[in-house]
Amino acid sequence: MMTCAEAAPLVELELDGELDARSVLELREHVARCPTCTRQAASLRALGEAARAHLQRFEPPPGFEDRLLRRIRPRTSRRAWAGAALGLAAAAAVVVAVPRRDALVDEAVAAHARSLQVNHAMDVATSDQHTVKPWFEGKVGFAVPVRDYAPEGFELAGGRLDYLDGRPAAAIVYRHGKHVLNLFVLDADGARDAAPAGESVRGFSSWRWKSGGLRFVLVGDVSGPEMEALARRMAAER
Amino acid sequence: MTGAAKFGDFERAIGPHMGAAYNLARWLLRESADAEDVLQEAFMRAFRYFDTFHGEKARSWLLAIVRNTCWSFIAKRGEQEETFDDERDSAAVLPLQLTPEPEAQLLRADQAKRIQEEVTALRPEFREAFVLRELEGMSYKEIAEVTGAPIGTVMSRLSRARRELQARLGGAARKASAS
Repeated sequence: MMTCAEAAPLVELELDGELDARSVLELREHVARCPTCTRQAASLRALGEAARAHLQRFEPPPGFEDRLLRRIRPRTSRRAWAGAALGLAAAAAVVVAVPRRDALVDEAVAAHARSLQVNHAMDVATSDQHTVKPWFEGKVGFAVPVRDYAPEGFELAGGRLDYLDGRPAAAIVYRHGKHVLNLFVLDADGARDAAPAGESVRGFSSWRWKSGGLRFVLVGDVSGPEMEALARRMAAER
Repeated sequence: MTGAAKFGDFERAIGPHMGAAYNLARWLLRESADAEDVLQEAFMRAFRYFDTFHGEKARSWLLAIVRNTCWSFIAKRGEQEETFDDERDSAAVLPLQLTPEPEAQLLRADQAKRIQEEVTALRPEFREAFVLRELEGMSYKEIAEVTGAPIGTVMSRLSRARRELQARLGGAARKASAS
Protein backbone atom coordinates (compact mmCIF):
# COMPACT_ATOMS: atom_id res chain seq x y z
CA MET A 1 0.00 0.00 0.00
CA MET A 2 1.48 3.30 -1.08
CA THR A 3 1.63 6.25 1.33
CA CYS A 4 1.29 9.97 0.46
CA ALA A 5 5.00 10.45 1.09
CA GLU A 6 5.77 7.73 -1.42
CA ALA A 7 3.17 8.93 -3.89
CA ALA A 8 4.14 12.62 -3.90
CA PRO A 9 7.32 12.46 -6.00
CA LEU A 10 5.77 9.90 -8.34
CA VAL A 11 2.94 12.23 -9.34
CA GLU A 12 5.38 14.39 -11.26
CA LEU A 13 7.16 11.42 -12.79
CA GLU A 14 3.85 10.18 -14.13
CA LEU A 15 2.97 13.57 -15.63
CA ASP A 16 6.39 13.70 -17.27
CA GLY A 17 5.95 10.23 -18.72
CA GLU A 18 8.92 8.93 -16.76
CA LEU A 19 7.18 6.40 -14.55
CA ASP A 20 7.14 2.68 -15.34
CA ALA A 21 3.78 1.02 -15.99
CA ARG A 22 3.66 -0.95 -12.76
CA SER A 23 4.30 2.12 -10.59
CA VAL A 24 1.71 4.09 -12.59
CA LEU A 25 -0.91 1.53 -11.55
CA GLU A 26 0.11 1.64 -7.88
CA LEU A 27 0.16 5.43 -7.94
CA ARG A 28 -3.29 5.70 -9.52
CA GLU A 29 -4.66 3.30 -6.96
CA HIS A 30 -3.39 5.55 -4.19
CA VAL A 31 -4.46 8.82 -5.83
CA ALA A 32 -7.99 7.46 -6.36
CA ARG A 33 -8.38 6.99 -2.61
CA CYS A 34 -6.56 10.13 -1.49
CA PRO A 35 -8.17 13.58 -1.94
CA THR A 36 -4.92 15.39 -1.06
CA CYS A 37 -2.90 13.63 -3.75
CA THR A 38 -5.78 14.01 -6.21
CA ARG A 39 -5.67 17.79 -5.67
CA GLN A 40 -1.91 17.93 -6.00
CA ALA A 41 -2.00 15.89 -9.21
CA ALA A 42 -4.70 18.16 -10.65
CA SER A 43 -2.74 21.25 -9.67
CA LEU A 44 0.46 19.99 -11.29
CA ARG A 45 -1.40 18.98 -14.41
CA ALA A 46 -2.98 22.45 -14.62
CA LEU A 47 0.46 24.03 -14.22
CA GLY A 48 1.89 21.96 -17.06
CA GLU A 49 -1.06 22.75 -19.31
CA ALA A 50 -0.79 26.46 -18.53
CA ALA A 51 2.94 26.39 -19.29
CA ARG A 52 2.48 24.70 -22.63
CA ALA A 53 -0.43 26.96 -23.57
CA HIS A 54 0.90 30.31 -22.38
CA LEU A 55 4.69 30.25 -22.09
CA GLN A 56 6.30 32.00 -24.98
CA ARG A 57 8.51 30.00 -27.29
CA PHE A 58 10.82 32.76 -28.50
CA GLU A 59 11.24 32.75 -32.26
CA PRO A 60 14.47 33.93 -33.89
CA PRO A 61 14.15 37.38 -35.54
CA PRO A 62 14.07 37.54 -39.36
CA GLY A 63 17.43 36.89 -40.98
CA PHE A 64 18.88 35.51 -37.76
CA GLU A 65 20.08 32.22 -39.23
CA ASP A 66 21.58 33.83 -42.27
CA ARG A 67 23.53 36.36 -40.19
CA LEU A 68 24.73 33.66 -37.84
CA LEU A 69 25.82 31.18 -40.47
CA ARG A 70 27.38 33.79 -42.75
CA ARG A 71 29.99 34.49 -40.09
CA ILE A 72 30.81 30.82 -39.60
CA ARG A 73 30.85 29.65 -43.22
CA PRO A 74 34.44 28.90 -44.34
CA ARG A 75 35.85 31.29 -46.95
CA THR A 76 36.40 28.60 -49.60
CA SER A 77 32.85 27.47 -49.18
CA ARG A 78 31.58 31.03 -49.50
CA ARG A 79 33.37 31.33 -52.85
CA ALA A 80 32.08 27.95 -54.01
CA TRP A 81 28.56 28.98 -53.19
CA ALA A 82 28.86 32.26 -55.02
CA GLY A 83 30.33 30.39 -58.00
CA ALA A 84 27.52 27.86 -57.99
CA ALA A 85 24.94 30.62 -57.81
CA LEU A 86 26.53 32.43 -60.75
CA GLY A 87 26.72 29.20 -62.76
CA LEU A 88 23.09 28.47 -62.10
CA ALA A 89 22.03 31.98 -63.01
CA ALA A 90 23.91 31.71 -66.29
CA ALA A 91 22.56 28.27 -67.11
CA ALA A 92 18.92 28.92 -66.40
CA ALA A 93 17.09 31.11 -68.86
CA VAL A 94 14.40 32.18 -66.43
CA VAL A 95 15.69 32.58 -62.90
CA VAL A 96 13.25 34.57 -60.88
CA ALA A 97 15.01 37.00 -58.58
CA VAL A 98 14.28 36.20 -54.95
CA PRO A 99 14.98 39.30 -52.90
CA ARG A 100 13.82 37.93 -49.59
CA ARG A 101 13.23 34.38 -48.60
CA ASP A 102 9.66 33.29 -48.31
CA ALA A 103 8.69 32.40 -44.72
CA LEU A 104 6.90 29.41 -46.22
CA VAL A 105 10.19 28.07 -47.58
CA ASP A 106 11.71 28.18 -44.09
CA GLU A 107 8.74 26.33 -42.72
CA ALA A 108 8.86 23.79 -45.53
CA VAL A 109 12.58 23.15 -44.96
CA ALA A 110 11.96 22.68 -41.23
CA ALA A 111 9.08 20.30 -41.97
CA HIS A 112 11.28 18.41 -44.41
CA ALA A 113 14.08 18.08 -41.84
CA ARG A 114 11.55 16.94 -39.25
CA SER A 115 10.15 14.29 -41.57
CA LEU A 116 13.66 12.83 -41.99
CA GLN A 117 14.36 12.96 -38.32
CA VAL A 118 11.36 11.58 -36.55
CA ASN A 119 11.13 8.63 -38.87
CA HIS A 120 7.69 9.78 -39.82
CA ALA A 121 8.11 10.53 -43.48
CA MET A 122 4.78 9.02 -44.52
CA ASP A 123 1.23 8.47 -43.35
CA VAL A 124 0.45 6.49 -46.47
CA ALA A 125 3.37 4.60 -48.01
CA THR A 126 2.89 3.46 -51.57
CA SER A 127 4.30 4.11 -55.01
CA ASP A 128 0.78 4.07 -56.47
CA GLN A 129 -0.39 7.58 -57.28
CA HIS A 130 -3.99 6.35 -57.42
CA THR A 131 -3.74 5.45 -53.75
CA VAL A 132 -1.96 8.59 -52.59
CA LYS A 133 -4.23 11.09 -54.33
CA PRO A 134 -7.53 9.94 -52.78
CA TRP A 135 -5.85 9.56 -49.39
CA PHE A 136 -5.58 13.36 -49.21
CA GLU A 137 -9.28 13.85 -49.97
CA GLY A 138 -11.11 15.54 -47.13
CA LYS A 139 -7.84 16.22 -45.35
CA VAL A 140 -6.53 19.33 -47.09
CA GLY A 141 -9.55 20.95 -48.73
CA PHE A 142 -8.30 20.86 -52.34
CA ALA A 143 -7.49 18.18 -54.91
CA VAL A 144 -3.84 17.21 -54.65
CA PRO A 145 -2.12 16.48 -57.94
CA VAL A 146 0.01 13.38 -57.35
CA ARG A 147 2.35 12.09 -60.05
CA ASP A 148 5.14 9.56 -60.12
CA TYR A 149 8.47 10.56 -61.66
CA ALA A 150 10.09 7.14 -61.47
CA PRO A 151 11.31 7.27 -65.09
CA GLU A 152 13.19 10.47 -64.20
CA GLY A 153 14.65 8.75 -61.14
CA PHE A 154 12.26 10.21 -58.56
CA GLU A 155 10.03 7.44 -57.32
CA LEU A 156 6.78 8.26 -55.55
CA ALA A 157 7.08 6.87 -52.02
CA GLY A 158 3.90 8.08 -50.32
CA GLY A 159 2.07 10.96 -48.73
CA ARG A 160 1.79 12.68 -45.39
CA LEU A 161 -0.39 15.33 -43.88
CA ASP A 162 1.68 18.27 -42.68
CA TYR A 163 0.94 21.73 -41.37
CA LEU A 164 2.45 24.84 -42.97
CA ASP A 165 1.57 28.51 -42.88
CA GLY A 166 -1.07 27.77 -40.26
CA ARG A 167 -3.06 25.34 -42.39
CA PRO A 168 -3.02 21.72 -43.51
CA ALA A 169 -0.65 20.95 -46.34
CA ALA A 170 -0.15 17.85 -48.44
CA ALA A 171 3.39 16.46 -48.36
CA ILE A 172 4.15 14.12 -51.25
CA VAL A 173 7.26 12.06 -50.64
CA TYR A 174 9.67 10.98 -53.36
CA ARG A 175 12.78 8.84 -53.23
CA HIS A 176 15.86 9.42 -55.31
CA GLY A 177 18.40 6.70 -54.47
CA LYS A 178 18.99 7.17 -50.77
CA HIS A 179 17.62 10.71 -50.77
CA VAL A 180 14.14 11.69 -49.71
CA LEU A 181 12.33 14.68 -51.17
CA ASN A 182 9.18 16.37 -49.95
CA LEU A 183 6.82 18.22 -52.25
CA PHE A 184 4.55 20.42 -50.14
CA VAL A 185 1.27 21.51 -51.68
CA LEU A 186 -0.93 24.28 -50.24
CA ASP A 187 -3.84 26.36 -51.33
CA ALA A 188 -2.56 29.56 -53.02
CA ASP A 189 -5.62 31.61 -52.03
CA GLY A 190 -6.17 32.68 -55.63
CA ALA A 191 -2.63 34.00 -56.12
CA ARG A 192 -1.35 34.21 -59.70
CA ASP A 193 0.94 31.58 -61.14
CA ALA A 194 4.64 32.07 -60.48
CA ALA A 195 7.61 30.42 -62.18
CA PRO A 196 9.89 28.16 -60.13
CA ALA A 197 12.45 29.96 -57.97
CA GLY A 198 15.22 28.06 -56.23
CA GLU A 199 17.40 28.70 -53.23
CA SER A 200 19.60 26.90 -50.76
CA VAL A 201 18.40 26.86 -47.20
CA ARG A 202 20.39 25.27 -44.37
CA GLY A 203 22.08 22.85 -46.70
CA PHE A 204 18.88 21.76 -48.42
CA SER A 205 17.84 22.95 -51.81
CA SER A 206 14.37 24.22 -52.26
CA TRP A 207 12.23 25.24 -55.22
CA ARG A 208 8.90 26.98 -55.04
CA TRP A 209 6.29 27.94 -57.60
CA LYS A 210 2.57 28.59 -57.94
CA SER A 211 0.29 27.08 -60.49
CA GLY A 212 -3.37 26.19 -60.89
CA GLY A 213 -4.36 27.90 -57.65
CA LEU A 214 -1.85 25.93 -55.60
CA ARG A 215 1.49 26.73 -54.01
CA PHE A 216 4.28 24.16 -54.27
CA VAL A 217 7.54 23.90 -52.34
CA LEU A 218 9.97 21.12 -53.23
CA VAL A 219 12.67 20.39 -50.64
CA GLY A 220 15.51 17.87 -50.79
CA ASP A 221 19.25 17.42 -50.62
CA VAL A 222 19.93 16.12 -54.10
CA SER A 223 22.27 18.12 -56.32
CA GLY A 224 21.17 21.53 -57.57
CA PRO A 225 20.73 20.83 -61.31
CA GLU A 226 18.74 17.62 -60.69
CA MET A 227 16.40 19.39 -58.29
CA GLU A 228 15.95 22.23 -60.70
CA ALA A 229 15.11 19.91 -63.58
CA LEU A 230 12.55 18.10 -61.43
CA ALA A 231 10.98 21.35 -60.17
CA ARG A 232 10.65 22.70 -63.73
CA ARG A 233 9.21 19.41 -64.92
CA MET A 234 6.64 19.40 -62.10
CA ALA A 235 5.73 23.05 -62.57
CA ALA A 236 5.25 22.58 -66.31
CA GLU A 237 2.79 19.75 -65.77
CA ARG A 238 0.40 21.41 -63.43
CA MET B 1 36.70 16.65 -44.99
CA THR B 2 36.90 20.01 -46.72
CA GLY B 3 35.72 23.12 -44.97
CA ALA B 4 32.77 23.43 -47.33
CA ALA B 5 31.69 19.81 -46.83
CA LYS B 6 32.03 20.16 -43.08
CA PHE B 7 29.96 23.33 -43.16
CA GLY B 8 27.26 21.62 -45.20
CA ASP B 9 27.04 18.72 -42.73
CA PHE B 10 27.03 21.19 -39.86
CA GLU B 11 24.17 23.19 -41.36
CA ARG B 12 22.12 20.05 -41.90
CA ALA B 13 22.73 18.76 -38.37
CA ILE B 14 21.95 21.95 -36.48
CA GLY B 15 19.45 23.56 -38.87
CA PRO B 16 16.38 21.86 -37.37
CA HIS B 17 17.39 22.99 -33.87
CA MET B 18 17.94 26.70 -34.46
CA GLY B 19 14.55 27.54 -32.94
CA ALA B 20 15.20 25.48 -29.81
CA ALA B 21 18.65 27.08 -29.43
CA TYR B 22 17.25 30.59 -29.72
CA ASN B 23 14.41 29.87 -27.33
CA LEU B 24 16.76 28.45 -24.68
CA ALA B 25 19.15 31.40 -24.97
CA ARG B 26 16.29 33.88 -24.63
CA TRP B 27 14.93 32.14 -21.56
CA LEU B 28 18.36 31.96 -19.92
CA LEU B 29 19.60 35.46 -20.79
CA ARG B 30 16.23 37.20 -20.66
CA GLU B 31 17.53 39.78 -23.20
CA SER B 32 17.09 39.50 -26.94
CA ALA B 33 20.09 41.72 -27.70
CA ASP B 34 22.42 39.42 -25.77
CA ALA B 35 20.89 36.29 -27.22
CA GLU B 36 22.14 36.91 -30.74
CA ASP B 37 25.73 37.65 -29.62
CA VAL B 38 25.86 34.66 -27.34
CA LEU B 39 24.39 32.36 -29.97
CA GLN B 40 26.96 33.60 -32.45
CA GLU B 41 29.69 32.51 -30.08
CA ALA B 42 27.90 29.24 -29.29
CA PHE B 43 27.56 28.32 -32.96
CA MET B 44 31.21 29.12 -33.63
CA ARG B 45 32.14 26.78 -30.80
CA ALA B 46 29.74 24.16 -32.10
CA PHE B 47 31.29 24.38 -35.56
CA ARG B 48 34.77 24.05 -34.07
CA TYR B 49 33.76 20.96 -32.05
CA PHE B 50 31.71 19.51 -34.88
CA ASP B 51 34.38 16.87 -35.63
CA THR B 52 33.64 15.31 -32.26
CA PHE B 53 29.93 15.06 -33.01
CA HIS B 54 28.89 11.63 -34.20
CA GLY B 55 25.48 12.16 -35.61
CA GLU B 56 23.05 11.23 -32.88
CA LYS B 57 21.13 13.54 -30.59
CA ALA B 58 22.01 16.73 -32.44
CA ARG B 59 19.53 18.70 -30.35
CA SER B 60 21.03 17.77 -26.96
CA TRP B 61 24.53 18.26 -28.30
CA LEU B 62 23.79 21.73 -29.64
CA LEU B 63 21.70 22.85 -26.66
CA ALA B 64 24.46 21.78 -24.25
CA ILE B 65 26.89 24.10 -26.07
CA VAL B 66 24.34 26.93 -26.19
CA ARG B 67 23.54 26.46 -22.52
CA ASN B 68 27.20 26.51 -21.44
CA THR B 69 27.90 29.60 -23.51
CA CYS B 70 24.91 31.35 -21.92
CA TRP B 71 26.06 30.45 -18.43
CA SER B 72 29.60 31.76 -19.04
CA PHE B 73 28.08 34.95 -20.41
CA ILE B 74 25.88 35.36 -17.35
CA ALA B 75 28.93 34.82 -15.13
CA LYS B 76 30.92 37.42 -17.10
CA ARG B 77 28.04 39.85 -17.02
CA GLY B 78 28.52 39.58 -13.26
CA GLU B 79 24.89 38.98 -12.63
CA GLN B 80 24.32 38.58 -8.95
CA GLU B 81 21.71 35.92 -9.24
CA GLU B 82 21.23 33.95 -6.13
CA THR B 83 22.34 30.59 -7.38
CA PHE B 84 20.90 27.41 -6.17
CA ASP B 85 23.14 24.92 -4.43
CA ASP B 86 21.73 21.49 -5.13
CA GLU B 87 23.66 19.90 -2.26
CA ARG B 88 22.78 22.55 0.27
CA ASP B 89 19.26 23.41 -0.77
CA SER B 90 17.64 20.13 -1.49
CA ALA B 91 17.69 16.66 -0.11
CA ALA B 92 16.50 14.76 -3.17
CA VAL B 93 12.87 15.60 -3.83
CA LEU B 94 11.27 17.78 -1.18
CA PRO B 95 8.07 16.73 0.51
CA LEU B 96 4.99 18.42 -0.86
CA GLN B 97 3.62 21.57 0.68
CA LEU B 98 -0.03 20.82 0.40
CA THR B 99 -2.45 23.69 0.36
CA PRO B 100 -5.70 22.90 2.12
CA GLU B 101 -8.01 25.06 0.00
CA PRO B 102 -8.91 23.22 -3.17
CA GLU B 103 -9.67 26.44 -5.06
CA ALA B 104 -6.03 27.48 -4.71
CA GLN B 105 -4.90 24.37 -6.54
CA LEU B 106 -6.30 25.15 -9.94
CA LEU B 107 -5.15 27.95 -12.17
CA ARG B 108 -7.65 30.44 -13.46
CA ALA B 109 -7.16 31.77 -16.98
CA ASP B 110 -5.64 35.11 -15.88
CA GLN B 111 -3.17 33.35 -13.58
CA ALA B 112 -2.27 30.94 -16.33
CA LYS B 113 -1.19 33.94 -18.42
CA ARG B 114 0.92 35.28 -15.55
CA ILE B 115 2.97 32.12 -15.74
CA GLN B 116 5.29 33.85 -18.23
CA GLU B 117 6.55 36.36 -15.67
CA GLU B 118 6.67 33.82 -12.87
CA VAL B 119 8.83 31.44 -14.90
CA THR B 120 11.06 34.37 -15.89
CA ALA B 121 11.52 35.12 -12.19
CA LEU B 122 12.65 31.59 -11.33
CA ARG B 123 16.29 30.94 -10.52
CA PRO B 124 18.16 30.08 -13.72
CA GLU B 125 18.70 26.39 -12.82
CA PHE B 126 14.97 25.95 -12.26
CA ARG B 127 13.96 28.06 -15.25
CA GLU B 128 16.27 26.07 -17.51
CA ALA B 129 14.92 22.68 -16.40
CA PHE B 130 11.30 23.85 -16.60
CA VAL B 131 11.64 25.39 -20.07
CA LEU B 132 13.46 22.35 -21.48
CA ARG B 133 10.79 20.06 -20.06
CA GLU B 134 7.64 22.01 -20.91
CA LEU B 135 8.61 23.90 -24.08
CA GLU B 136 11.05 21.48 -25.68
CA GLY B 137 9.37 18.34 -24.30
CA MET B 138 12.72 16.90 -23.27
CA SER B 139 13.02 13.79 -21.10
CA TYR B 140 14.91 13.89 -17.79
CA LYS B 141 17.79 12.14 -19.50
CA GLU B 142 17.95 14.72 -22.29
CA ILE B 143 17.78 17.61 -19.80
CA ALA B 144 20.62 15.93 -17.88
CA GLU B 145 22.66 15.77 -21.11
CA VAL B 146 22.07 19.43 -21.86
CA THR B 147 22.70 20.75 -18.37
CA GLY B 148 25.46 18.32 -17.38
CA ALA B 149 23.62 17.56 -14.14
CA PRO B 150 22.75 14.07 -12.85
CA ILE B 151 19.18 12.90 -13.50
CA GLY B 152 18.34 13.08 -9.78
CA THR B 153 19.35 16.74 -9.76
CA VAL B 154 17.22 17.41 -12.85
CA MET B 155 14.25 15.85 -11.07
CA SER B 156 14.70 17.91 -7.93
CA ARG B 157 15.16 21.14 -9.92
CA LEU B 158 12.00 20.51 -11.88
CA SER B 159 10.16 19.68 -8.72
CA ARG B 160 11.38 22.83 -6.99
CA ALA B 161 10.44 24.92 -10.02
CA ARG B 162 6.92 23.56 -9.96
CA ARG B 163 6.58 24.00 -6.21
CA GLU B 164 7.60 27.64 -6.51
CA LEU B 165 5.27 28.27 -9.42
CA GLN B 166 2.39 26.63 -7.60
CA ALA B 167 3.07 28.76 -4.53
CA ARG B 168 3.32 32.03 -6.48
CA LEU B 169 0.35 31.41 -8.74
CA GLY B 170 -1.68 29.80 -5.95
CA GLY B 171 -0.82 32.68 -3.58
CA ALA B 172 -2.20 35.12 -6.12
CA ALA B 173 -5.35 33.03 -6.34
CA ARG B 174 -5.96 33.35 -2.62
CA LYS B 175 -5.34 37.10 -2.68
CA ALA B 176 -7.66 37.53 -5.65
CA SER B 177 -10.49 35.60 -4.05
CA ALA B 178 -10.05 37.47 -0.72
CA SER B 179 -10.37 40.91 -2.30
